[in-house]
Amino acid sequence: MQYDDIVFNVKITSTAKKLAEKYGYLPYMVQRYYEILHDWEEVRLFLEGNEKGIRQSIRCNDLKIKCKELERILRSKHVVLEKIPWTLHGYWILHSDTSIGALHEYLRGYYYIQGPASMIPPYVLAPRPKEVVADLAAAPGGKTTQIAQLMKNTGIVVAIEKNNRRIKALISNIRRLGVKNTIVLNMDARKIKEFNNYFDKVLLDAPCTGEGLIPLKPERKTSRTIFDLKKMHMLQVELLNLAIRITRPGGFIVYSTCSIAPEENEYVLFKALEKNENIKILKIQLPIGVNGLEEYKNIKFGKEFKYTRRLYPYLTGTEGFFIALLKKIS
Amino acid sequence: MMPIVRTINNMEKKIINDEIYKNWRLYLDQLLRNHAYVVLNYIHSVDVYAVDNSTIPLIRDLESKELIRYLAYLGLFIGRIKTKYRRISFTPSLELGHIVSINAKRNLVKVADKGEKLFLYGRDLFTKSIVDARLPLLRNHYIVVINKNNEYVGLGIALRNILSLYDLNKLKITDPELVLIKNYIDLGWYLRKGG
Repeated sequence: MQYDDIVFNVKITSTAKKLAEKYGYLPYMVQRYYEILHDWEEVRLFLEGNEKGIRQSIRCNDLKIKCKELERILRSKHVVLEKIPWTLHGYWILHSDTSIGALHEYLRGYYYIQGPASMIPPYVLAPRPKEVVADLAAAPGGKTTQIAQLMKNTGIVVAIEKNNRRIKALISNIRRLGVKNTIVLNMDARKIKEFNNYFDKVLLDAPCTGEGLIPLKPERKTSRTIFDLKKMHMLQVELLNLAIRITRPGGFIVYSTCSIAPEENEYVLFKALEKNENIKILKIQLPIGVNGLEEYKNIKFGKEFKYTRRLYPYLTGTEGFFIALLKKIS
Repeated sequence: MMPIVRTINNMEKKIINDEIYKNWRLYLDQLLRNHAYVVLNYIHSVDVYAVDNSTIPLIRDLESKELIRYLAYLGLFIGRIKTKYRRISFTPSLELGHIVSINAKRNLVKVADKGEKLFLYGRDLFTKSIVDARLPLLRNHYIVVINKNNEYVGLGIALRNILSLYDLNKLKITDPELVLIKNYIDLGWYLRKGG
């Protein structure tokens, strides 16, 4: 707890102020980027990268159609696709005459419009047929339906979503994509705490400030203060402790966010590992992204933190993302 | 209002089977093997879901920990049983229609591209849109709508009887603009009300 005063206290330099003004950010955010990247030129490249936007992408739903067949159909409708190399089912949309969300194939549930980085957590979780898996922040259902797809519609996916407005979209996507193995609970995920040691695998794609989504949503440059960041951090720590509690010994947890903030990523993991000695960070084999931070603001998280993965838009061309794979040791 | 969650009873299963058989000459257990049926019982209606048998223990666990009241969806939504003016009826879901479309022995139409497009926007079907059918088409019965590639498009309700291909072809010539199938639900629903 004593590190909170260090982590959430930002001394803003004049360089940060100038860059913030130039690119339209709150100054504390740019100062933090320097604390992460340790080089002002790298920070400038990062900020430039956020101005570029991200190509649209889809995930083929092989519960309903073989991906090769989908490729053929979409090409016949003048959609130009390129396979995303680090995914099994992902495609960049390079060009489409019609909006990709308006095609009949979309209505049929043949694909889901999903960011390429957000396809990674379910692959890392690697859910298997007949397992019992929890998704603690499920709406609008991209990762839930991907988990169901990887499980070949067997086993059970318990999809939890607190937000009443978003639950409708979650259920609609589950129905549209032909997913049959979910149980959807409209409640605060913290209510699942009685299910100690229950789930084979748990995905916590945690609610976050969405700092990694700035290329898609520029309003995020100014929509969150340091206090919002701290509040989100506290919720994330609580949810990660919950995820650990409900995973069975020998089971796996994936913690992910669409944020590049260490306050929402490595620092959350750091606190959870301090509280839970039976958790181990496993190495993620991923051909894109960089290692997670082993330290931040002179706080040493640990060498094993390099096994987590960070995706920066300016390096990967994807949304900003963080992924960690944890194992609960018996 | 929070629903009561329970397994389906024999009367409800019979209502569903009667409706499926009446429309398509099929039975629920033919369409979905090795499934249990769970219902969410509201005041005036019962929503019916098909779940794999392996899901039942978890449902019981949710019940024992008093979390069942947060259940919003599970398995595969089959449809809704409603009671109105003492009349009980079963309305099939979009997903059940898709399962039925593979094996329906009657009350099925195949539509041309333009008809498919209009139907997906929630519009009704004209006689001229229908290129083929599994007959008979019976008035006030649910009709499965598929496209020329045999892909499911949605469910309609027939507004008149068509008992033979001769009747259908004659109608296509004499009254091509006649609304034959009223749109009940189509895949476009996922983008309109569904989402």
